[in-house]
Amino acid sequence: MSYHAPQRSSPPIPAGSVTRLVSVGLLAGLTGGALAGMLFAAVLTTAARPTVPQPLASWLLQAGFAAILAGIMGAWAGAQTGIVLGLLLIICRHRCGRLLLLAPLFGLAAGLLHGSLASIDQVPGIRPAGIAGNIASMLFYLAVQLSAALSASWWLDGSSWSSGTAASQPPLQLPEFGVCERSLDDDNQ
Amino acid sequence: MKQPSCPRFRSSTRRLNRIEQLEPRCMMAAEIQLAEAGQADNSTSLQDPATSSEATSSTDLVAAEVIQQPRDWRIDSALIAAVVQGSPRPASRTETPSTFPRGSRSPSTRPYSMPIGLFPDGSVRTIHPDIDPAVLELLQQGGRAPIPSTTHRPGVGYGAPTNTVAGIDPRLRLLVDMTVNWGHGSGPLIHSRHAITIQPDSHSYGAQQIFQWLNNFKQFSHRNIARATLVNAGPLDPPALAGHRYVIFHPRTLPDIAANDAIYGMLNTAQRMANPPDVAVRLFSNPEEGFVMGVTLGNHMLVGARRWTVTELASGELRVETDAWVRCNGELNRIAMQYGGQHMMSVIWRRYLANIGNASTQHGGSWRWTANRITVHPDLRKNPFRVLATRMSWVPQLLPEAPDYLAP
Repeated sequence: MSYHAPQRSSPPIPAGSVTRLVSVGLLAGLTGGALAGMLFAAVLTTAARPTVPQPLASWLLQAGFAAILAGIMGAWAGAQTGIVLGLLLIICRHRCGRLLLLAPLFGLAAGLLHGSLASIDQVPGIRPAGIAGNIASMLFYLAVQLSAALSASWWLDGSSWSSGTAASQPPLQLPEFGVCERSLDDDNQ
Repeated sequence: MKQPSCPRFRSSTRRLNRIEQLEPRCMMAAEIQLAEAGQADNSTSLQDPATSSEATSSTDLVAAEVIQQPRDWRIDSALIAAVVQGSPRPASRTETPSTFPRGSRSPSTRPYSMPIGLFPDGSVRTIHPDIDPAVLELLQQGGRAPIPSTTHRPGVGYGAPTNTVAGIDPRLRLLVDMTVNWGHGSGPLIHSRHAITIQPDSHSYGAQQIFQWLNNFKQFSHRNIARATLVNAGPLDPPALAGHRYVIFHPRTLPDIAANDAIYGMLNTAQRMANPPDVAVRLFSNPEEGFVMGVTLGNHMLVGARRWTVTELASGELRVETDAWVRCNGELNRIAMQYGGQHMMSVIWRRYLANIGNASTQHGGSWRWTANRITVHPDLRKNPFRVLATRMSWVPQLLPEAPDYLAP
């Protein structure tokens, strides 16, 4: 009597769910990154005193322009993190809760990676006047990626957050696969 | 209406009704300044009696007008240049820096109509404006060249022939009048240097070909985040414009850029809030020393000069490098330079050098990066390239041209 190993065939992932997870990750990362980038630029431009007295409107224009450029860079970097988090959710499926707890670490790692790339001029970075070297770029990408990762984890699975605000929004419905729940005995029956 | 007694004013009033909207504002400003300063030079008067009588005695009055208009424009251009150079320079240390870039607007890269002309066989055909001078000469020797007085660009200069200033490419006509923007810089001086070293073999291109590429920017636009359009005078254009060479750069925005360069497209789109879609650079080349230099014009987002060099090293390798000393034009561009602008500038020139490296070694050989550096010099005040750029920036004089096609 020969033994046939059970085939643990995974049901196909519904295409709509994948698209939805990735889209939500993208949007969440993009929003979080852009907001963090704009905030970072606003703080920097406020801290940097203009060397020459300028009209308020001119200074506001400059600060707004800096916020827009930083927001674009933050959105671009954050969107990548959001997409990766969405894909990780799909791959890890039911371990999403534990994965999302690691989101801050993931954001920090992504920030360090992007900051390092910016320091060797491989991705756009920021070099405000008065701050030497690539410190600003590193801090910028750390803030952006951390914000993007937290934002993405919030949107992807709000129930994993302990605060009560997440409960008001229904968590995203992950695809019901059930593959991990099936045991070898079930297959043999 | 009482006409001004000065012949220059009479001439201007007549011209303003006829010439298109290109120069009137500049002409009036220059003339008013000249009148106020009392520096109107009678030697440059438009009403030269000999010339006037010659023109009016001609049977073809329309053609005489066509000649007179570019001549007026040419003289006014010289006057404008004289006024600009002679006007007192504003004290930059006490002046409030401008928010937006200053300087005249660059012409668009939009192509204009091709020249058409009547050929001796009776046909009317288009002629490529960059036709090889040797080919044109051979056609002329064989009696098959287009008749010069009929060669014109449709819609340009009321059908003025291409060998008159009124009939040249309007982009070139605008670029000739643009001035360098040295006085509009704000923020610290920035030095950018990128270089590659090419290890050639018997099949790779040599220094002469690379210099040609540097001269005509042929390798610039491929997979780059901006594109370059060379505008220069061709063999159909008047000899007075020979030597005028310009490059118009157009940063690629979102619909016009590759998908993997989306971030650069977004940043380029954002910088369009402060800058024009096209910026111009005047080119000078020195074949003996193997370098080409470009000086920023008008409302270019940068103020300064860039040099592209190809040199043969003692080891037989070729070094292609570009370095620039620039400042920003306006406070918004100073901000943009801090928020991603340095990287964008670096990407543009790295890709250009990479294109040259790939093109020169496509049949053999190899290339590698030698330098990639952008440094900010907040304590430096004087642009190290300014002396060299000023020495190089000889702009050929627009001398009076003879109405040769009216001669019997």
